[in-house]
Amino acid sequence: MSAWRAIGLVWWREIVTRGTSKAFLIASGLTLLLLTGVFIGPRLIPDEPEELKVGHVGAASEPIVATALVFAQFEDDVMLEALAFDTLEAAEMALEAGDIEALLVDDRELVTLGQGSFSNNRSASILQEAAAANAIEELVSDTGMAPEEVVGLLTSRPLEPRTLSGFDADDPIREIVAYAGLMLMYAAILMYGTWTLSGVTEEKANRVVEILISTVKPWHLLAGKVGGIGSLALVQFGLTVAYGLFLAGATGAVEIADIPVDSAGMVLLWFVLGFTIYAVMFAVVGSLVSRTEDAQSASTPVTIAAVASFMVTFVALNDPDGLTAQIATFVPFTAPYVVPVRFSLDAIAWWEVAASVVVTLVASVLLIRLAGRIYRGALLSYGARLKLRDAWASGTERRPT
Amino acid sequence: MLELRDLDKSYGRVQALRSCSFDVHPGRMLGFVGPNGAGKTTTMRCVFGLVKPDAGTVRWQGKGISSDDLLAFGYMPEQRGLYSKMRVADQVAYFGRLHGLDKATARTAASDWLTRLGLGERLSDRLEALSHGNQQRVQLATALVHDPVLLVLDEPFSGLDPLAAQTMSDVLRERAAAGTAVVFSSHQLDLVEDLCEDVAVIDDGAIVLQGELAALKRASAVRRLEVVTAGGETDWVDRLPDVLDVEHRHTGAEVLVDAARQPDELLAAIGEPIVSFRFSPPSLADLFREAVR
Repeated sequence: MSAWRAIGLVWWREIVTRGTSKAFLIASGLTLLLLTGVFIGPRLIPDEPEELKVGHVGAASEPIVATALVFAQFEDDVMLEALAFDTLEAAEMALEAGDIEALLVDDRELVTLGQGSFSNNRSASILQEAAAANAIEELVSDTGMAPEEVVGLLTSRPLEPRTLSGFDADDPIREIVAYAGLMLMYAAILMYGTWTLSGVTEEKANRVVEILISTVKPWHLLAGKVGGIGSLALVQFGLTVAYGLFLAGATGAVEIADIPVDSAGMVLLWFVLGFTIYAVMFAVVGSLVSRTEDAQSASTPVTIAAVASFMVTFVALNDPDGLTAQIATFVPFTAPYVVPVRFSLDAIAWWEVAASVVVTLVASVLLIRLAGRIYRGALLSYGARLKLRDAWASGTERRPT
Repeated sequence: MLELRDLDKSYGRVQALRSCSFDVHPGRMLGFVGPNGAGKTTTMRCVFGLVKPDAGTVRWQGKGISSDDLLAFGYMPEQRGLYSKMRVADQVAYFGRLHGLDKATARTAASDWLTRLGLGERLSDRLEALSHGNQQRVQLATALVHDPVLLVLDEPFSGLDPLAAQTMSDVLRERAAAGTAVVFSSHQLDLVEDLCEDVAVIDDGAIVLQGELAALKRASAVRRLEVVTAGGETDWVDRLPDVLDVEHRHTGAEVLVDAARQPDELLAAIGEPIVSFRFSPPSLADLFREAVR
């Protein structure tokens, strides 16, 4: 029997038995339900505008407050109310009591409580903007310019933008796609890695391994398992992402047509490659243990590798043409993170992409062969977790001739 | 023919196999017996390459065992185990396909074998829903589904009730009659004696006795004498010449004597009224005890 046929049979069994299991179907359904909730839920809650209250003291504060009230009218989500106070003491007491969030003293001072908070003090921001607008208006009133013209000048971009790559430098959609892909892949590796891990220990845990290995080679079994479990994981994950994108498009959160095809394709390619190399890594550690309970602790090095590579990637991408980024492109563990982002930033040559694809694929194949050898070595030592060195040494068991 | 020649295997300081050799012939059944830890499982694993012997060869039809040969072999390991969540017929068919059957043949063979083994009603049940004995039948079906040319079964009778053991015996006999080379290990020597033309006795990693069972019995230096006297006493045993071993039963006694002694000579020595008298070659149990002494 050819290797492909054996791998294919194992692959198909994984897909059929896992894909039709209640656990898988329920988990997939719940994920989609949850996603629906995330997108649809907020729409069911009516948008109440934020009610802001500012206080002011002194006649000089009046024009600024007037401008602030006009500004607030342009904001959909804000309702601003201004309270005039006769004395500074009364105003500060109101601020202290929480009746107002900010206090304008004439046209020179802005008082707030000064306590730490996660959100900005929007009342204070609006008053600052209003004061600045009034100051500019006063400045340009002598020049005969209309206030609208001044505002137009301030927000205009008189220089024509042009990029050598031809991509729109102002449009961050490519980077968003790349970074989103990176985050999703990171999540998928950690989420579905445990599937591979426990899947690989399955045959040893239920002791079916001895008849299997008397028929197929260990690496056929492992490649089939990683392929089958990986395909299912990718299908579940792909469905989730596609459904998420659909909901995002339907609710207007994302314009699907804006997503650049080449960038998205590169993300997809590397998603599969990255998922594969890490799944294979999980298979290597999974082949060392014989019980599912031991699998989790054995997998720590792989999890650390995934997290560390993820962090290295951010260092590398601060300088996408730099040495770290270039090295990370050819390291199988970091390439899946780095290459799609460098591609989106147009900081990578085609030959580099091609070479890193080859490096990652070759590494995956070598690792699955390594896993097969370890698996055979660890095979008949049920019970204790095997040391890597011992498994390697006894992995040389071959068919007698 | 399966030939095992001079297999040596050590695990650290423990020598599991010492120059272990025997043959398994197509169309015949070989009983592989020996005390616990004698090396039976290690020997069987050598056939499938699950254990690599330090020295010696395993050959099938005169050649080293190839991957294709392995596909045509059937194996029932001592460590039983199947996929507990998988449906019974799917499971057996899956192993059929791993052994090279096409999809349709595998499905038909799986259903045929399971029905033959009394599980016709349980084809679409998950394995975990079956009793231990029935799971063992499924295990046997996975070893048989591809009509193997060689069947290697490690303790196939352990844990079986008498009815299941009968089914197992019938199936093995039928496979051997159909030309399959069958080897199985067992501690149930009476079963081996019933089923097998050939035996191999292993002790401490070495084959201490092997060959055709009938010939081994004939060639043995002992005979078994079973006597029930009218009085029921067993003091006649003391009057017999060349007694090698005695087993007292509630009905009388059984004695192993030198094969050179003749029945009438013994009958005369007993010198008591006799209800029954049986003079026969030794049982496999006798040969076994003598071999591993």
